[in-house]
Formats: sequence, C-alpha cells, structure tokens
Amino acid sequence: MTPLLQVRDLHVSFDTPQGVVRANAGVDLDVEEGESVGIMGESGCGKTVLFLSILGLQHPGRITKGRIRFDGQDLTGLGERELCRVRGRGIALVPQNHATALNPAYTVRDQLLEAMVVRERDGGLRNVFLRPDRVLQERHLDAMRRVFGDLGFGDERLLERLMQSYPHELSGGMRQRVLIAMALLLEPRLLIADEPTTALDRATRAQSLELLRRLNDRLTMLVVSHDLGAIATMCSRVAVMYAGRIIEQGPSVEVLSRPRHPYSRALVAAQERRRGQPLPEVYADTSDLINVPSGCPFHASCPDMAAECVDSLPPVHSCGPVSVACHLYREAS
Amino acid sequence: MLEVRGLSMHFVVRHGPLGRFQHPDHVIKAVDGVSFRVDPGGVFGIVGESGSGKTTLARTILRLCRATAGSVFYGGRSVFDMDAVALKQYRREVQPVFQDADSTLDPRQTVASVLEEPLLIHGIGAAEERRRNIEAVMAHVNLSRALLGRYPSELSGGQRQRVAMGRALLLDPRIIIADEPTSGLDPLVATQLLSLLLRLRRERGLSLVLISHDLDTVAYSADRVGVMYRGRMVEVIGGDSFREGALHPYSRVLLGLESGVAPHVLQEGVHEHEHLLEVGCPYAAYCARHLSRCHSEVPALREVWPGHMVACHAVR
Amino acid sequence: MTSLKVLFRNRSAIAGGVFLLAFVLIALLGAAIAPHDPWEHFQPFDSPSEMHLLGTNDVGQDILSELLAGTRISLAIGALAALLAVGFGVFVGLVAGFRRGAVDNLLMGLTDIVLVIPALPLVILLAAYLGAHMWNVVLVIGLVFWPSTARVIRSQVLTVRQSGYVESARGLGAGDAWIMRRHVLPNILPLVLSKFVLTVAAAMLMEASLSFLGLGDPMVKSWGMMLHYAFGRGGFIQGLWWWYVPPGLCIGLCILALTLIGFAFEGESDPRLRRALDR
Repeated sequence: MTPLLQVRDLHVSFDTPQGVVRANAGVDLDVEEGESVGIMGESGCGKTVLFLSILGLQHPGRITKGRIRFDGQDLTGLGERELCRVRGRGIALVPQNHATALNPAYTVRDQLLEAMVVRERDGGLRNVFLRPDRVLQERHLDAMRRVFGDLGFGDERLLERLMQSYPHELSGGMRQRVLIAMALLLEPRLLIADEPTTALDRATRAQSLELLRRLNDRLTMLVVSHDLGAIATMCSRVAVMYAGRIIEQGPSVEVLSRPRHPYSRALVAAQERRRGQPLPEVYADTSDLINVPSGCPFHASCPDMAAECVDSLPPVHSCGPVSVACHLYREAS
Repeated sequence: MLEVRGLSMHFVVRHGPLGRFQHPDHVIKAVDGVSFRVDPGGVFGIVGESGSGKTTLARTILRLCRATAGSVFYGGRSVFDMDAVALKQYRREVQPVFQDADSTLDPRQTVASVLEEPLLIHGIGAAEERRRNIEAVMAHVNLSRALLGRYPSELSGGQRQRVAMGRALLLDPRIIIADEPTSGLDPLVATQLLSLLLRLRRERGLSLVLISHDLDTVAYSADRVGVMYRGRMVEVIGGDSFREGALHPYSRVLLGLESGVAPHVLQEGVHEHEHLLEVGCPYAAYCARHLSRCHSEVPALREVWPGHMVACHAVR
Repeated sequence: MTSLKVLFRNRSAIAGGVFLLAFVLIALLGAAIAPHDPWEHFQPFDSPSEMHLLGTNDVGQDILSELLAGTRISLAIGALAALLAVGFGVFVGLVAGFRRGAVDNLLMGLTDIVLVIPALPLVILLAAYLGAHMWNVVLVIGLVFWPSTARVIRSQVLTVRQSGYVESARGLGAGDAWIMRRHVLPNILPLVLSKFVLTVAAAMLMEASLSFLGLGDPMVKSWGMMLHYAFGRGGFIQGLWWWYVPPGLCIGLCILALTLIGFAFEGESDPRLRRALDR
C-alpha cells in the first residue's frame, strides 16, 4: 500500500547574509496511514523545516531538490491555491507556541468556527467578510462538542465557559487543547504536531501526551519533538535527524532502547538522570549548516570516528528493523 | 551558611475604579512564609511548577525585589539590613544564574565585555589580569576563546547560558543560585550544562541552590529538596529519599507516586478567581486526602522524620 | 559600529546616503563651486542661459549660485535645530526614565503639553514673536521637536531598566551610575541616531515652511527663502519654473535621503533578531 506521505530526497535551502544554509540535505521519509511517526532531534537539525516544507510553508526557504507526495499527489510542484486546499483538510498542524497561535482578539468559539468555515468554504477572498454569528449553525456547535468530548472535556457548563473565553484567559494546557480541537475539526488525513510538550509544565505534559496517544487511534500523526519521553509514548516509529538528514530510523521501541548511531546514543543517554551515577559525557557544539563538513556531518564530535567518516557521507544501512546512516554499521547490511 | 526565615513577598493587585465591583482588590502571595537552610558545599534543590513562587523567592533572596516579611541570613548577617558596602560584598559571594540567557546578557555587549563587567564593578585586577581571568573562565565553561568577540545574538542558547555561568564564576562566589538554568534548552545541551554546573560546584566547593520545574534534574542533583506550591514550601526532604519517600500529597502527585489532580490545569483552565482559596492549605481544594481542617487552618512545616519536614495536616 | 554596517546592507539607505553625501559636499565646498557670488547683481528675471544655468531672480542674482549656497544654510539650520531638539529630548527622556515617580510625571506632563500643540502654528507664533533671525529659527524649531524624542528615549530607558541584563548587573553589584553608563546609554544610542537623522529632515522641512511664509531670516539664503521670493516676487505667476522648482526639488531630495537613512537606523534599533532556523 502506498504510504500516505512520501518524502524523497528532500533538499531545502535558505539564503542568508552568511551563506546558504542547507536545512534539509536529502530527507527520505514514509508515513503509512494510521501510523504515528516521530521526528526527533535538537535545534537546528532541520525537523521544523521538514514539516514546514510538507505544508508548503518553508518560505523563504527553497525546495531545491526532491519530492513530497501526499495521498498520491505531488505537493512540491503545487501553487499556493492548491496547497491551501491540502492544508487543513489534508494535513493539519498543531503549532508549538500555544501562546501566539491563537488570535487574542477572538473568542475560542469564533476561532474554532473559523477553522470549520475555512474547511467548508475554501478560505478564499469572498469569505473574508463572513460574520461568525451569521454563519454559526447547530451542526458547528455539535461538532465542537463532539471534539471536546473526545478530548475529555465533556461538561456542558465548562465547555460553554471555554467557548466564550479569550485565549489569554486560558492556561497553556487549555490553549493547546483548543489548538488540537481546531486541527481535529478540520478532519485531516494527517496531523502534524510541532513540539506538543515543550511549552508545557510537567503536570499538563502528562495529560497532553495521553490525549495525543489516544488520538493516534484514529489519525495518522507526525510528531516533531526533542522530548524523548513524548515520542516514546506517542509514536510507533521514530526518525532521528541531525544536520538536515535522517540518521536513524525505526520502531521507537528499538531506536530508543538500543540506539545505534553515536548521535542517537548521546541523545538518548542525555535524558537519563540516575542518582549517584555521573551524567553521560556529551560532546561540545552544534553542527554548522552553512559550511557543511565533508563526509559525515557528525564526525567532528563523534566518539567512534574513523578515517572514512571524514571523507565520505555514510549511506543508509539496514540493521534489523532499524536503518542507520553510519559507517559503523556497514557489515550489517 | 544561607538561612531563610519566614520569607514572604506579597503584592496587592488593584483593579481600577470600574473593575472593583466585580473583582475586589486581592493579595497575591507570591512567596508566603518560606524557610530553609543551605549548608556550605551542599546542593539545595527547589522544585515547583510555574507560578509556585520559586523565581520570586530567588530574586528576593538576592535582594532584587523587596520582601514584605521575613529575613535572610548570610553568614549570620541579615541581608535585608545590609548597607551598600556589605551588600556589594554579598552580591559578590552570592551569584545568580537565571533562566533564559537571552535576556540576561546585554545584546549590545560582546562576550568579552559581558565577562569583564563583574571584574570592573568590583575593581578586581588590572587589564592584563582581567584578561587572563576571563580566558580562564571561558576554558572552565568549555567555550572557545574565539567566541569572546561575538555578540550574544551570534551564540546558541547553550553557549549563552555558559557565558552567564562564567560571569557568575568570575567573582569566585560561595553560593550560586541557579533559577531554571537549563529550561528552554535542548535535552542534550541541558544535560551538558547541568553536568558542567555540578562539576564546577564540586571543584570549587560551592553551595548551590538549584531551582527547577524538572523533577528529574533536581532529584538527581540535590542533597536536600524543597517542594514549593503556591508560594509555600510544603515539603523539605533529603535528596536520597525524595523520589520514593516524599510524603506531601502534592509532592507525591508531582512525582507520579499517586495519581491526583494536577492542580495547574483546572486552576487557570477557565478564568477563576483566587480569593476563594485564601484560607487554609492552598492545596486543599485539589487534595485527595483533604480533611475539614485543611480548609480553615494553614498547615505549618513540621518535622515528621529527622531532616524531613512536611506541611500537611494529613501526614503524621 | 554595528549601526554603520546596517546602513550598508540596506539598499535604499545607500541611495539616501549617496544623495546626502552629495549635498553635504556641496554645503562644505559652497562658494568654491558656485559660478558666481550669490549676492552679486546681474540682469534680473533672466531665463536659463550659458552664463546663468538657472537664470536670475528678481534682483538679478544667479539662481544656481543661490541654490548651492543655500545648501549649507538649509542643512546647517536643520542640523543645529535637530541637535538642540534631540539633545534636550534625550536629556529629558533619560531623567524621566531613570528617576520615575514625581519627576517622571512632571516631565512627561510637560512633554505631552508641547506634543499636543500643533507644530507649525506654534512655530509661526514663536518666530513672529521672537523676530526673524537665523538663531531664533533654530531655537524655535528645536523647541518644537524635542518631545517626541523625549518620549521615545524614555520608553527605551524603561525597557532597558527592566531587562534581564540590567537585573543581572545589579546582581553583580552594579550601582545606578554604572548601569546608566554601561547598559542604558549604549542601548539608546541607535535610537538617538535614528531620531536625530529623522529630526534633521523634519527640521529642514519646518525651516522651509517658515521661510516660505516669510518668517525666516531675510539675510540668509536658504532654499525656503528662495521659494519665498520666487513665489512672492512673481516667479510663479510668470511661470519661471527654473526659479522655484530647483529649491523645491532640493528640499524634497534632501529630506528623502535623510528619511531613508533614518528608517534604516530605526529598523536596526528594533530588536528583531530573526534567525530563520534557530528554535
């Protein structure tokens, strides 16, 4: 069966005064229908640019090479109008920053309604003058109630208060729920969640994780995060990114418990805190995306660096269910 | 070495003449009667969610904001009564490292200038000696000397935070108060920073007050842990016992030892006013084990085991 | 300085810079490059010819020479007035922002009063009252433009005072004077620069307006005064465009150049640290 989302050899670059930044340098990713895939990596690895490119929102970045296929359709060649149709109904985004993703001038109800109206009517120019109260119908409210019920917010009175609230009156966790509801109301084929737990405190984080895990039963999801625990809970498969490439990919259980690539190993080890044991030794600095070093981009910081790592870019090797882009695993394939 | 007694920092939220009808003026007790001790060479961890008052606590101890009640003693002397000279010396020996080095470094100063500042303020050394100190500190925090000429905006988050740490170390302090030093950083970078902080502490025999909402970090690093909720210190326990042996209902919920109401979500979930919770234990409304007493009487922090203090009516 | 670097990156600012440089050069070289003495009398109302490239005015003075000489005057008045306005404005803004409390309220009240009064009528009144002399013009314009600088500077001072790095400096043991010198001043400098440049533009326009209305110093040949005479002595009616178009054009170009540069500076003082890929 063809995967719902297929990314092939994606290259995305940004022009900056300091030079050309190669944010994505050959990304290959498949997401099957019903799956939940996590993209893990630190700041600057390219995971944000990846999902933005999928949505066609990579500007001012440019897709210089590669293809993105969604539901059989090639997205890379599409114009803005067609992309608008894909966004929302095909692929919906739950943004990271719950504080700024909601318009402070509109109530929750109006913003949710906006999402639904855009979906029904194609967000074109002629809809600009629609007034929310004129357009609101019982079916819209029903849909909202249903969605919030699914999110664990069934109480009618509480829901009513919520609908009439403005974003600044809500806590971070609540706002995130609203954003998730907005995405769900669009009934997308694919849901992209950008750092769903990073902006939350511990108590809310647990709840959000639970919520998203349950959603996965009905939705295909792509979760972008650097939070290991979040990915472990939510995703069946995970891809680890570094310097614009996916350097390890496989079932999350495998990758997170037995990481192969030296960078993944460092990433996984870093999140452990065992009292009495010294913290894992970690390398120094982040990768340079402008002057990309020859060979493996990680070689300068790699504890297992060999001579060939300096010269040649490691191809992807299979290592059981996991694929790794590292010279160390050459024998395995 | 550092002792905090009954520290409180309350401020009154006044609503305008029209708002007064709906919302009466009420007092926000950012910090309410907090007491704890930091032993020389020890790590005291403070755990709390956002809004618990931990940052205000840190700033009040540093005299960056004014307390409404209580006192802080450093080396036996009362910090709030110090004159300008003593205060300057206090500031030399008790250094902060704040969250978000984005705002703690002047965007218009180079790294070298930022690091030079503490030395200049306290008149330490001539130009040559200052330069050597700065280079030494850069090495200590694993930063390349090449970064000295850069501006904060040209550094990564982790690098900026290390500059902030370096700046704190230059005055050779006795205590470092680190408020969320790693939040906002990637896990790998955060671990690196924590590891650095703890190593420096060991090497120099500093005391450290580590404030964080990240339980794992505090549980790992601290000799003693204080749990804060709504401005009050609800539990103080040894670092070794924290993970399994916390007794206060809120601590146990935080640690995942008990399932309970995560107070934060409902607290601000839909606009509520806090004046309802002014009497009695601040956690009573969400506590699974609340007694009638909890709603009227504020529990005091009492020693239930040697070295283990809990502020709860339901704990014997 | 980083501010200058920003200038070079901005294309419109470069264009502005080029023009401004040209005007400044003319102002400095002044009489040396003018074909005639601007005060010398020739045949009045002469059309453009080889000897008088822009013709002559009503009393026979060479218009081109007047124009070139006027560059120095117009720029000087603009710059001096701006210096006065921005200097005073910065002082007020600093004091108000740093002191807060009653002093702040008082100063801001005063600022608001002056800000609210419409500039041109006020300037006209003051100029008429004080008399038409170059220094009065400078003074009067300066008096009108200081409030907006004061407000902006005060705002920035307040922002800086509450920032994390100032708090850190206090944590290190710094006193008020130290913070003022090391943190506040450098952080308001770009703002001062941009405000200054924009105020010169505004001052020049104000001076031109004043002179045009006849309230400028008649002994001083600024571009505005040229316009005054051009319109007043029949240049407009007779369609002698070579008399009134050049000074008008110069005013326009010069102000445009200054504005472009001022905007470039303004853009930089805004804390827009956009790093497209950084999280």
